[in-house]
Amino acid sequence: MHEIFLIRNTFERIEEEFPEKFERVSEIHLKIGLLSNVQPILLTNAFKAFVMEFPQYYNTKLIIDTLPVIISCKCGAKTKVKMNRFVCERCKDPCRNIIQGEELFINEIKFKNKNEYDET
Amino acid sequence: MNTTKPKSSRITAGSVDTEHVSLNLLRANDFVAQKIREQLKDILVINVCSSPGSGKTTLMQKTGELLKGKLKMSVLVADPETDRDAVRMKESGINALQIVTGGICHIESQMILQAIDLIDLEGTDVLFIENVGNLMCPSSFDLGEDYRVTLISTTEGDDKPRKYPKMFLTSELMLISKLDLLPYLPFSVEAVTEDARTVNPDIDVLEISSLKDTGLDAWIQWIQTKLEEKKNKNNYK
Repeated sequence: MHEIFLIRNTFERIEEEFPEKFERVSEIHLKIGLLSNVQPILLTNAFKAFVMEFPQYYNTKLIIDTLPVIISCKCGAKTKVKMNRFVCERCKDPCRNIIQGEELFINEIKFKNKNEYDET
Repeated sequence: MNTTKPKSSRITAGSVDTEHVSLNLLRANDFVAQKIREQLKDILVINVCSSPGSGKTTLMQKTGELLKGKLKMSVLVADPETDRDAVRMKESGINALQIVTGGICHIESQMILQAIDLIDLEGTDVLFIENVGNLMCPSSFDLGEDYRVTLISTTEGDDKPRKYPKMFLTSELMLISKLDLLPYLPFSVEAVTEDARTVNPDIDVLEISSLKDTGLDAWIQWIQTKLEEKKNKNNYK
């Protein structure tokens, strides 16, 4: 798997988006759908390995929110996909209209305020 | 402000600033993939995926033979190490370039963008990208392809699609390979097709044996149809 790549990307995205304060990042929240092929535990391990290389992020926390797969059928029903069976719970029709489960993004970032960062 | 506060009072919830964002972690990859799509708008690009050893390279060699005189094909072939596959294909007269990923489990679009500068695509109708043998990671990376084709060989077991849902969910065609071994194996074409369609009801399914020349006409036909569709779509633009 490519967890290290994703962690590197996470920091690069934050640096790109917040060039003036990325070094002060204190908490990163990721949303990860079950279909993204990413294992939270492996991602957490990759994160630990990454901060060993970059000690300035040693106190940064990673919080992962895993999202189940949900499909939305033409009949209007929404089904939580279990055992990768992409079938509507109500009308039993096959359905691949995925409305949740493919996420792989950062949805919240916390930064230490500048004064506090300068003291540490 | 110049007022000095006792240090302890500064460590409050207010001392952290929070940004609510939606930053896609694969944005860089998707952006490059789009660039590839624009650059290769006249070539049919097919991303070929599967487990290791399910017959991707043999299929490429056979496809090269069958397309000879009809269409020009080129192949970008990726492996973690060695250029063996590209050598094999060049021996069959196919215009091929090896991408060595250096241990990485998948191809990223950036690798393709670099590779298409190094391979001569003059006159090419179909470009195959033979991905790293892996049913997991490659499924997350858009390479700028038009179609994703996944091979599943009869030796792998017919329960794979739901074990690796993302790959089958994002593929347009499933090729059941090594069909000639079917009599010796507890593998059911019906079961694997049903399993794949549980994940992706729209997936096309073809049965082939590259070594025994079974079902390859339908595969060649599929390629030709998709190429015509792409050309027609370009003409309407």
